[in-house]
Amino acid sequence: MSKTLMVLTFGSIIAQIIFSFYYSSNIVNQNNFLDEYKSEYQKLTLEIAETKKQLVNLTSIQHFQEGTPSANLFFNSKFINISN
Amino acid sequence: MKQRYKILLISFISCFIVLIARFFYWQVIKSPQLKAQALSQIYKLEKDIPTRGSIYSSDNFPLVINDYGYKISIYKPNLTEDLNSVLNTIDSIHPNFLKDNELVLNNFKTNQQQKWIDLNTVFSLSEKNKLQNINGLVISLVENRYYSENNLAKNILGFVAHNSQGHNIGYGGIEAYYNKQLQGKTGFIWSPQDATGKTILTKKSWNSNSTNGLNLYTSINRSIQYQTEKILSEGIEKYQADSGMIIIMETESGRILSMASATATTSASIDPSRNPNIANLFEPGSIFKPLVVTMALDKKTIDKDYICTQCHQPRSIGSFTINNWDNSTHPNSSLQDIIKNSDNIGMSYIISQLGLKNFLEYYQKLSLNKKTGIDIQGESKPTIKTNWPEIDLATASFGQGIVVTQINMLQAFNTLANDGVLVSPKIIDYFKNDLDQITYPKNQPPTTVFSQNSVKQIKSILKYAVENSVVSSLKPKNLEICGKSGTAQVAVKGNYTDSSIIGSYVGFSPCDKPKFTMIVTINNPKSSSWGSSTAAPIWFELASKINFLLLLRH
Repeated sequence: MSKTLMVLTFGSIIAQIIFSFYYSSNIVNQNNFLDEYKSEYQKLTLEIAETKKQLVNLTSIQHFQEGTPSANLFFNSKFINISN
Repeated sequence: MKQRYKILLISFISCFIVLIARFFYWQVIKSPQLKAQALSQIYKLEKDIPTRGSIYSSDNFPLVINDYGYKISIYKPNLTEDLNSVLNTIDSIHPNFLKDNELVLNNFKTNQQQKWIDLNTVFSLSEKNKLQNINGLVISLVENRYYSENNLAKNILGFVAHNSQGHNIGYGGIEAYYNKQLQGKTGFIWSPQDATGKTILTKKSWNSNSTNGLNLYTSINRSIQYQTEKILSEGIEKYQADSGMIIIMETESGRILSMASATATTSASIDPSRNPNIANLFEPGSIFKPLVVTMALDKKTIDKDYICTQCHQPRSIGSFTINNWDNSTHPNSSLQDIIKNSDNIGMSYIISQLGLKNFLEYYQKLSLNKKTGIDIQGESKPTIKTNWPEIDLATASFGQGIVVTQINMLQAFNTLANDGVLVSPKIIDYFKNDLDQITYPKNQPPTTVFSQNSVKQIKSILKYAVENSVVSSLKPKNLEICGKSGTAQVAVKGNYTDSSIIGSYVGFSPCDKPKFTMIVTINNPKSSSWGSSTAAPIWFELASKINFLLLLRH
């Protein structure tokens, strides 16, 4: 009787230890994933912001004016009449 | 022996009682404090900072976006290389790093007591990746505002900076006026942490989500804004003026298409916290005349066939004499001629017939005595005098002795373009959140000030004045314009002087169903003393370009 009780007691202790190891490693894994996703999200956010900035720079009037010298010549508002 | 047992027993019991008392102290009395301390070590409160909203022009181009960068700190004990060598490496990654931080770095190098330094240089993502491998550097992320068109519309946009509590807030312009909408709502996360300080996912975590700031879509037309700033700067240089201001408004809606101010001093940096177009008060001068004529026509104190029979000589009021700008007189002037010749004498008789009570009634209806309510921070409230002797009423007819802001004057003149209806100027068309849901700002309802018939009459007078006055040669042939020039003397220490003037031109185009209303103000031009030869050419040049740009839009 006492032997059975002892086996049961030790068995339940070992099961508890195994379960706690499994459970805690699961939490650790989940937290590691969370941490990874957070870093990835931040990295992507920064890349998007950087790309957006580059796009905005390329479509700015400033870029257009510097890139094309003829851009300063506005439309021709006067007509030249060449008579015979 | 028995005595010794007794002593031992009493000692044990005493110790036990002390122990129990101590337990009681720590576990019952000190329990709340210790619990709080334990929680603060296990749990952490993190702030979830929202992203500040962007500001867009009318063509959905982002004028202001968020830019992320990195700042570095150096901790001497963790450096594995010589400090100078590390600094040179950083300089090779980010040019001018050493030059920009010369003073603080020299001190850091020589001061043996100083182990740590925070540097203000902002590094890009690619630069940060190169810096990551250097031991002894601590890299932190920083958020900045990025102005895509550099200084374009800076006076309208404002800027963002830290306040005394270290929070980012808007100063001046839209950034300040709509700071609450732009900054969003900060979120909080209360969760357990592991030994390294990382968040642990448990059911006991609590969080309130952050809400990103709203994106603001303005009425600012980027191309028109660019042309406005360019032509204004060229005009100031050409006419050797101290400064200048321009506002262009969509006639029917009151939407501001562009707003610019510039000074002659190129070295002076733009102060985005102060917008002269809405903050500076000035005497409008002759550009005010069409408003007075419309008041008189609307109140029927004169009719369209009015003839000034007393205009053959200067008018004397008390000890004052009212004369014309060129000391000429125009006998038997019609209304058209009074406006065309900018006749002060004729105007003084018109306002006398209108009367002070009626004048003040229209002055209030035109919102000239209060702020327009434009959605930019820093608008000044115009002041109006309480005592009106006859001479003051007479000078008010040609815009002297009254003070308004440029936006006030444009709003009032726009009623002539907009069939007598006063609309409030506005910059923001709508807000959009992350889910693309659109909300609109509250706008003041339009009010009718003048009858359509009165407006029709003044439009015909203004059109005649443009086509027959000194400015007619400057007018672009393909444009129909209703406008008026003005030259106001500036009061210095209570007296008007000829040494300082404000030249203005205000008008709209075309006369029927106008697309835009524009005001140009040039302060103290040296090349010419008249609004007709300084502000008017700028107005006409810009008008032809706006007309083209608005055609492109439709």
